[in-house]
Amino acid sequence: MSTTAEFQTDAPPAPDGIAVASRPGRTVPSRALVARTIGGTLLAAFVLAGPKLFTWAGPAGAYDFGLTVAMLVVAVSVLAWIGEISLAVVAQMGLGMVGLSWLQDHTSFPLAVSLVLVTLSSIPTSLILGLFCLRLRGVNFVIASLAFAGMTQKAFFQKVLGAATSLHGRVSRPSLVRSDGALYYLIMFSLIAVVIGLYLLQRSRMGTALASLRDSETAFWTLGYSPAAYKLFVVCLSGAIATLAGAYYGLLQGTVPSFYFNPGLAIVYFGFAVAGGMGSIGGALGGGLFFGAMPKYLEVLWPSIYNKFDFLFYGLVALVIIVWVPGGLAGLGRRFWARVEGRS
Amino acid sequence: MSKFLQVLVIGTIAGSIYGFIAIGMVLVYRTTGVLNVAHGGIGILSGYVAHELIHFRHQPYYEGIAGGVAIAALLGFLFELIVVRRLPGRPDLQTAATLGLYTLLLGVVVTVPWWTTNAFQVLPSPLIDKTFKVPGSHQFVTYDQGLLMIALALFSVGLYWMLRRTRIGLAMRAVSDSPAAAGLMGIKPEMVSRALWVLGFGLSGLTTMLVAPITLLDANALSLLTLKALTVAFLGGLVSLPLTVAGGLILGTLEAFNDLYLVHAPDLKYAWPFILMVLALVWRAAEKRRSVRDDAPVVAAAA
Repeated sequence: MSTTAEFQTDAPPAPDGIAVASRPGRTVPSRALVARTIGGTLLAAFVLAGPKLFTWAGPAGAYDFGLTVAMLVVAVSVLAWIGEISLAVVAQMGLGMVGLSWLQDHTSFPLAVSLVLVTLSSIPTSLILGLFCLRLRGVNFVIASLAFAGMTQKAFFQKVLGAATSLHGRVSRPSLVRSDGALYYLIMFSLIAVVIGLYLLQRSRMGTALASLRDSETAFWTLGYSPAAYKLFVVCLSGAIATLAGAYYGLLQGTVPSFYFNPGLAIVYFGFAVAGGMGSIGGALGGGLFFGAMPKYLEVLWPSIYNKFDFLFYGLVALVIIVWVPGGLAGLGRRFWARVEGRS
Repeated sequence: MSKFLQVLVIGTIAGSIYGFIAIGMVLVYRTTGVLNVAHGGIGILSGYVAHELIHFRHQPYYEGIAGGVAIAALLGFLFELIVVRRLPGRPDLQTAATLGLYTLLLGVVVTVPWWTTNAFQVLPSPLIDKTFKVPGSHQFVTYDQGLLMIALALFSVGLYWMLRRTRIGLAMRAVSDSPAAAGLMGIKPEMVSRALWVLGFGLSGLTTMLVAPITLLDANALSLLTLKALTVAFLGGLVSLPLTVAGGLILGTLEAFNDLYLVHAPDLKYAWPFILMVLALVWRAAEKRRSVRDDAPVVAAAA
């Protein structure tokens, strides 16, 4: 029996760069073309309309929260590219919030510069975590990341932010994103940029290399690539996305309770990533948005019933998806889209 | 000397808590390859069920405890039936399912309003308030703490013996290594798997019955203990029961040492699990290098 259970991903292997280049004249069936045009238009309309579509169900902040969670779940899912799971993402998210708060207190940088600096500041902590990733695989790395998160929360967040609701960790919103609606567009376009970047990365030579690293580290190493460099890169990439999500979370909440960053919450977010479909960017987005925003709306619609049932909802839906929906929401989406395009 | 003895006593008590939680996780991982993250959640629910029966419904103590453990065992039966059977050969997805179960069970606990309103509730025990003094120190140990230490010793030895010497233990290991080969040897993998999950979940329930009278019956506190127990399980390589128990005792002792000797660095206490993991990694890497070096002449001679 293997001493580690490696987490397999449900993402399709990244296409080979050469294979893509050899079929430039590939024709798309007309039904698929129509479906893609309509789907793209609907998606664009959905993105632009944003939380306005759901104002009847709750405030715009609920949707913003969903987007932040989606970004965090994307960070979890990215690590699955190298077949690993980190439960330190919530801690990295917290570092983003603390970093933004510190920059606002001590500098007068514009928000865009602060966000870039906060994202870059994630690199040292990601490298520490990455060192464990070089030595450990599967559940061993999961436990190491959990220990790292536990130490960070107890020894850092509670120290910096205080035991309960923070007065030190305040994050103020610049006038440009004062309203939840305006903040939505900032988070949404950042998320789109992240997703496009990841999509391009998956389809680049580096994406192909990462897919092969996941399949066989020994073969990867034999071919002259450095598994350490690629692993560290992915851990840093995941950490940067999680930290950016934390900065947005700080902007959304204004003040952040230190107990929010407890490692147990990372387990919940990992559940979202699995329910979305590990390794799939679209699945992570769908899972994060669904599990992040839906409870907030339910809280508003049925406050007396829902407030007590959020964990029950998360757990039950995640369990049902893991057991009964192979490939998670991403698998469901792929099967649905294949039908729409007439491929099955 | 008295202070050092105090460190050892407090460390052993804390270490017994971590060790007892961890051996349940190691048992399940070693025999299934599944990291049962729900271990703590199952214990939390069964603890609250026992509390409900004893405190709110005024049932006799032992019936309440049996009820709590029975609920945990029933959950194990259902989990095996509904989840494990549907995800055969996928320990990764089964592990993910235990994450979902953990969240679900925490959700169940908070939905019962009177369970979590009092943050300082202790699971009642007939041994509560009974203490004895440790010879040579001013340290008192409650009977509940003593019982936990004895139970840890008995269970770790018992499980170790079961996995190596009994038919059911050997069958569990056989099914874990190769279900097909085990089936050919006349073992029924489904029955063994069911027995294992019932035992693993039941052990989780029993753990809370022993731990909750010492700590508090609080979902957050018990979750935090589970996270530390995961670190302890890592120290044992997730497979070794003796190393897991030793890891728990070392972690508990280091934390107690921090509390009593390093009073100017109280936050260092939270870093000990992480530091221990780093040391374990360094030690394992050295062991690996040593074994490679030891094998080298054999390989050269064979060549």
